[in-house]
Amino acid sequence: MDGILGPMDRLLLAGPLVSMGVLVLVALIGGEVAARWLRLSRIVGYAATGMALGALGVVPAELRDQARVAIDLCVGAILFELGARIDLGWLRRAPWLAALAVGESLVAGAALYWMLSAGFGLPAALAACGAALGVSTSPAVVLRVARDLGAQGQVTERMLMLSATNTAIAVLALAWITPALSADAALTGSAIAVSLWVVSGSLFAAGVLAALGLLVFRVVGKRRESQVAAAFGLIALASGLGVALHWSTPLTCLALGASMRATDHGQRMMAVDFGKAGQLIYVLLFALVGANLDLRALAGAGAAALAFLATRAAAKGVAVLALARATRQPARKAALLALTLQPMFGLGVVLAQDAARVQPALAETVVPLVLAAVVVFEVLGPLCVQVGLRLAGEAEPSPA
Amino acid sequence: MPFHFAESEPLTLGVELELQIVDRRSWNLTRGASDLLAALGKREHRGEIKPEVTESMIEIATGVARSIGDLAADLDSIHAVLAPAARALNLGLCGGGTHPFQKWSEQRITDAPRYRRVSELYGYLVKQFTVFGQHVHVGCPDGDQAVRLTHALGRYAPHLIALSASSPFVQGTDTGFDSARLNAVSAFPLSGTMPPAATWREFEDYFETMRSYGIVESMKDFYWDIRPKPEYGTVEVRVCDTPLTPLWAVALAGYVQALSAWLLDVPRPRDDAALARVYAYNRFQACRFGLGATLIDPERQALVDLQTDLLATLRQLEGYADKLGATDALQLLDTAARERRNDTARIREHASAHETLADVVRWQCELWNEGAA
Repeated sequence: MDGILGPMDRLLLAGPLVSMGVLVLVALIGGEVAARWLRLSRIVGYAATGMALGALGVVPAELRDQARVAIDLCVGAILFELGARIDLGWLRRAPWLAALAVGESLVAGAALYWMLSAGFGLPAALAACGAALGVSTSPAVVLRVARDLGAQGQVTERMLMLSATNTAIAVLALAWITPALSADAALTGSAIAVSLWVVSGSLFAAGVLAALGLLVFRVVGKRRESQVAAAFGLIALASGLGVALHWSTPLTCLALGASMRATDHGQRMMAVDFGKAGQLIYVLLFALVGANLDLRALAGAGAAALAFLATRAAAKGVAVLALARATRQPARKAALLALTLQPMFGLGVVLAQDAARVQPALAETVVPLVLAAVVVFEVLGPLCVQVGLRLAGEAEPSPA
Repeated sequence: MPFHFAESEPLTLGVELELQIVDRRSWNLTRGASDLLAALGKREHRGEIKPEVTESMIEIATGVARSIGDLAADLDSIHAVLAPAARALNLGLCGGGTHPFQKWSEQRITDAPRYRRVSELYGYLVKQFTVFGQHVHVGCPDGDQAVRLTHALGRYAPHLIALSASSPFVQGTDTGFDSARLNAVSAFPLSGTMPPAATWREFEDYFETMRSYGIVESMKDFYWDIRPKPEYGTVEVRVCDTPLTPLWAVALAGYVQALSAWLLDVPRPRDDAALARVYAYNRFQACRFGLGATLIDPERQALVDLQTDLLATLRQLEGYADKLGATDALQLLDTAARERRNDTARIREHASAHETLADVVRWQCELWNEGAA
């Protein structure tokens, strides 16, 4: 009966699972509290519950590491879905939208880089890392809130498109910059080789998996449940390969979704969304990231984080408003679009912590900043999207 | 106070088409009318582009045309403005009387006082009314002629239903109907056919009575298949589904014009009561079986195949079509009638060759986009 596992092993195995179970159940209740009493997005409740349980020490340290697989899969699924939403046809038909997508990312990235290097005196690679994290609009937040609100319309569509493109740019930049951090924070030859390995490897994996995926889709046919399951298999493969070969899992998953959509000439792929089953992904992700946050960072880096967020907001706002006319969007809608782009990439915490392991200098500089920014935006981000989409008249009329 | 029937040049035409707005990812209906209208801005075009009861519907309307050639030119002009705007917003536009798999409960009512009022009165019927039709206006010299033409055209409503039918699928299911769209109209209390009236004066009396009950405020509150439209000085034929191509919409308008020319030209003794007795049954037959329907001929009081009746009528109209420049259009309809191949038949063919109804909608968008009138 005991088999090869001793009682101690059992406890170690069960411990993290038990706390994960507790985390999911409590977070779900937190989500309902947020939705029913505060009329906030459920994910605010998930994140806040995670943070509270993390701060109370209910979530053991082991979970934070062991949950990495779960976080990777959740993030992979969300990035895959987002990538599959990148409609290259639309960008071709509407070149100004492509210009907005690139321009908005570049303006935000440049402004944040300037702020971190000139304002806070961070070395180039660290500043670049922080700036890249700030470029992205949280895919999880925009997808979830848009779905919760049943939002439809141009602000919603452009928000999702811009989140996809700026996250793609951010993930690509991070995959390139992170190796440089470990090589004495200088762009030595070996760092460039590693960057090349990470970026090209991730994209190569995405290409191969996309071809495989379309083949599988052809076999399973246009049945939504089968395609969702197949997509999950592909995401697991992408994550596994990423870990084994030191590629970037987020980059692979995003590129996988995008290239499947772009090369699906036979229209084999349905509009894959993780739908109702996807609820679990979001509960897990937001609660786990919440539990991973160290609230003490707020005290240390609060002011810097606010400066970071203000710079980011201003840069994105300026870019979107400047191109409003060219993108056939009334100024008011453009302002609301800029508002919906504010949520920070929660994955930034995980990536920053990863990077900090390699480069301890990060732990004192960028990590607290990102942490504090994410803490603020775990609550404010969904609210921005909610308010933006409601004021744009794109949310379902009845309260979600 | 009786209301005035505006004078208009006899047999002039106007067409309104309700189009579906879909997103190009899932191919489901999407909220897009107000964004589309905003993106159009002040770009010049003939005719009109207007919002409709739900946000996933947009109405295009031609100006007043003397011939179907003019109608086609108006539709082309609208297309030249609307199509690029839709492309820029990544929206698809298509014909078809129903969207094959939309969920009616997800539809949003356009935020305007009239629609809010209608929505309050009719409840879910309004959301279920997310169907897409073609309306053809024919000019009439006066109210008496309009009342006469309204009744006389009723005899031919089944032809128009069968020829235009493009709504076999509802809520993801093949209904077996050629035009399931009209079933959504039938649920409204003031639908069906206009009650008998010999003159405009008699019709005014009827209208006044209904208004005195507080049931109606304007002609818009009657959802009849064919109704006089006194503001425009026209008779409005509302039984057609929006076809899959603008070309077909123009051909249907040509049939209505030639029919009206004939009916106004050769006044025949009319038995409105006899027509009223069989109207609902004939309408059902045409909706259900399309060009394969069997009708009751109200004059001869005998069964007749819709196909036979339609082909005979088309032959009857040859002279009028020639004068009106609608010969080619009627030839198109003649061929379709012979082959019993309306848009519903094409939709079913396409659906059985593809795995999902989303593929059908994608194809419908291609058809509409290519199909300049």
